[in-house]
Amino acid sequence: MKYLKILSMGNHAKHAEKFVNNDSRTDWHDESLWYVRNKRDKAAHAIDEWEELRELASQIKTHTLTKLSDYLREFEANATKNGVVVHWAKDAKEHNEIVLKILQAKNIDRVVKSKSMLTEECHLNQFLESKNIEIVDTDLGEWIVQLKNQPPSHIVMPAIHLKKEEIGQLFKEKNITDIESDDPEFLTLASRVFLRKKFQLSKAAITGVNFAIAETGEVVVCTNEGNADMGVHFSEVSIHCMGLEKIIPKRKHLGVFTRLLARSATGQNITVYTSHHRRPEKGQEKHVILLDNGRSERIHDDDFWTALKCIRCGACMNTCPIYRRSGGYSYDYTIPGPIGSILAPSVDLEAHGDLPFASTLCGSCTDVCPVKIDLHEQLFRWRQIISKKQGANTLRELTNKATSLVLFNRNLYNLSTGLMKYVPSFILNSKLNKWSKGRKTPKISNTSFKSWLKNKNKL
Amino acid sequence: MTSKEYILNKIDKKSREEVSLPQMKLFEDNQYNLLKTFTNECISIGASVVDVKAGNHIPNVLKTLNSKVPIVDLVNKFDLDFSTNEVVDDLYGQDVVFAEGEYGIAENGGIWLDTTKMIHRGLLFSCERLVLLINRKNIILNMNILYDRIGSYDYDFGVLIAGPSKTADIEQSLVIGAQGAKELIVIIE
Amino acid sequence: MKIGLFIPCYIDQFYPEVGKISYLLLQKLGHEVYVPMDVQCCGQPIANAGYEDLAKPLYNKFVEQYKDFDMVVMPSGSCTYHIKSHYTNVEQSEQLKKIRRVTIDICDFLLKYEKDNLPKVEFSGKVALHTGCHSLRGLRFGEGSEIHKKPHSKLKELLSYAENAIVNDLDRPDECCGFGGTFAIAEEAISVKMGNDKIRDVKRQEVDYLISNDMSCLMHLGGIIKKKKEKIKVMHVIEIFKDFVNG
Repeated sequence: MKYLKILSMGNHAKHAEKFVNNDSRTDWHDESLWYVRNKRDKAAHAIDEWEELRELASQIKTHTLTKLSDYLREFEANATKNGVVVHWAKDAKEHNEIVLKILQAKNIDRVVKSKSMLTEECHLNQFLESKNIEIVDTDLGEWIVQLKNQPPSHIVMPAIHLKKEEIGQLFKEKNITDIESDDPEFLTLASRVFLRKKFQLSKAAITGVNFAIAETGEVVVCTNEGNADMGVHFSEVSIHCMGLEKIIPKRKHLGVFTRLLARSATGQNITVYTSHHRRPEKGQEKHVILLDNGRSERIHDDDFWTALKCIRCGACMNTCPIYRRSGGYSYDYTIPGPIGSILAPSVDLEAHGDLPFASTLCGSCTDVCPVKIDLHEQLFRWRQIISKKQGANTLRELTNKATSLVLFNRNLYNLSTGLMKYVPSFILNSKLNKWSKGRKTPKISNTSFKSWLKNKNKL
Repeated sequence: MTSKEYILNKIDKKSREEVSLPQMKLFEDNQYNLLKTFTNECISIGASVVDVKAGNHIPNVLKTLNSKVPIVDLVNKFDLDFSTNEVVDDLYGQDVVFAEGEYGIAENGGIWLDTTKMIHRGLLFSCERLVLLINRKNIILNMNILYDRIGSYDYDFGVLIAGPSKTADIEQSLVIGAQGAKELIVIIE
Repeated sequence: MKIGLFIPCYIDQFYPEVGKISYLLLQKLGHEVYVPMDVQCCGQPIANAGYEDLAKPLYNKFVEQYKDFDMVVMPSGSCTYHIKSHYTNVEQSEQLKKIRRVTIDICDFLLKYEKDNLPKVEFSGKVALHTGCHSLRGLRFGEGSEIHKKPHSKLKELLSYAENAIVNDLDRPDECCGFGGTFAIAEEAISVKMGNDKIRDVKRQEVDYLISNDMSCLMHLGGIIKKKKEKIKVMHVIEIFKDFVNG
């Protein structure tokens, strides 16, 4: 029933209410992310030209999007010249099948993967596992959530929602360690030892792509742990998976993006490794898969095409007061937070139509975005589209219509406010009024401003 | 229709007015003492720095590391009794690995390596301890300047390495030494 | 100047004092002040709820009633922001374009045009400041910590007329209070959590007053303060001129 559907809370609100119920844990989650936001501020403010870099990055990305097909063609031509095999995937299904084909051609059944939100978007792990191919996520955070059979809750810090004791328990449970420990150093060393074996046994490595350079056909991967490179340089086959929008025109543009990315994401001046993969090693295969999956549609959307500028730094999540207090899982989508709330409705408006409302439109996300996406304005735009799609005569639409009428018509306004004065406080502050669950309701004044002014002018 | 054609057709279905590409800037700034800034950055990201201006020469520095196995010299720079130019291509068995970088970046302590002439690339990542040599004349301020310098390099694989490997994936606790090198020693000559 | 003063419905009904002081202050400073009685709302809550088309009649009425003034002033950063930024789905007539240009928050107006005419006031006490997000990031009432620019705060600047007021900075001075219009009901749990966190921050600074330029934020935070029975008084910054206008 349409009315009941609208009466009930959206999914995000439901999840968020549960999350926030654990007050101390919410504080812990909020403070962890605020800490990263602070690190970002420190790093960003240490560069005098920070705002100029943001503007340059925004312009480069916008320009690229207006000439996307040219740059994609240029990239493919140059990469191919370098001995890289370039594949085009219309959608997630095709993407996964391409990966499978590459692996099966060489009878590979063990793969190591480094951080790639795109492969999350495609649910690649589940697909390969269903084909009896072992795929191990080798980023510590990604590996932890893989062991827990959970998706990442943040695009840069996948396990930010887990406490170290929980990770220690997990490692003991999965026989990564013999004893249960909550010491991060001990746990990290244990993962180094365990995963090294996986690198040894795997014949293929899959990575994401931070930037692909049209001019040179190379792909750039930014990491901290060393696992992505370990995979690529010790494998027969390397596969780099990227969304169409990761293209930038020239190598020199990396100067702008490499100065913005890590500072925005973690507050580091640069990631430990900035790897520029251009040609396969002798005797090895190198593949790049270009994924569409809706991007060629989104680029024509006048309201939301600039969301394709996103370089997946996660800064918007770290700053979002709602994300910090509700966690990545409250968004029910591969990518959470402000940028996720803009991408998700274009994938499935019915399922994710609540996300653009999970925001106060405070605008903090827009101000931290290194490529200056007007995130909070796009959330506002989505609200208009979603409300229209929900149609007329829903409870929300009728409520807003009534409100508009009352506010438009002076007599109606005076009548309703006059009546409101007589609603007793015990009703106003009861369970019926959702406002009053956590707040006292403001008192309607005996003399409104307008009635005071009317009287004053009469005198 | 191939997927490529499908995708490109979809993108070209409607064209958008071209936004012009901005001019790149180098953001050079003379107020910085490049060597000092670079050294401080290296230290802050967990690397140790040895400046051999003081007359130590490099093999001596390498010797003091007491590598458990012969130091793998990826760039064939030395011929020492405790170094080797041969690589056993596996993920175990290295301790100290040595390479030479082309540029040091003062703003982030990173060292750019063009690996084209290296005998093995993976060892940069699989070793326990990594030693990178950089000439002080080649320390530049920032990444804009780096890419200006290497803009037309024809490398197979290039990498900027800044500090030893690390992770903060467990409750934001920084752990130095994740999957890659646990230590990075920067030698400035 | 010929000023059209706009007092939004929640100030009209819940905080008429703020409306009064705005009106009297502008008059005392020598302006002709008019208040079109027919206009109750700028349409923001309806537009933010996703129904900007239902707000069109309100937009058109606003333009029609306020078109003849030199400046359109209001004690509300969020209404100012909405008019300037989101009156886009109606015909962009010359009148509407003018109104979008001359609409200004009262604090901004005072600092721009009346800097030398405002009196020093007696108001004293320890104060925490909250600049609403629409004012902070929408109208650049200050530099949020996100942006790399010289820090400034219009709210602080206006408060400086109260020479004996001491401002204790919040630990998180520019985090959203959690009101967000219909968000306050639709995502009640997070909204209240954000408000509670803000009040805890205010309490840590050991202040007597929480001062803002946006009564919608204070409606939410004030409601929490009352519920938690805290001894913090909320007020619009313009209220520091109360004695000046009543004197």
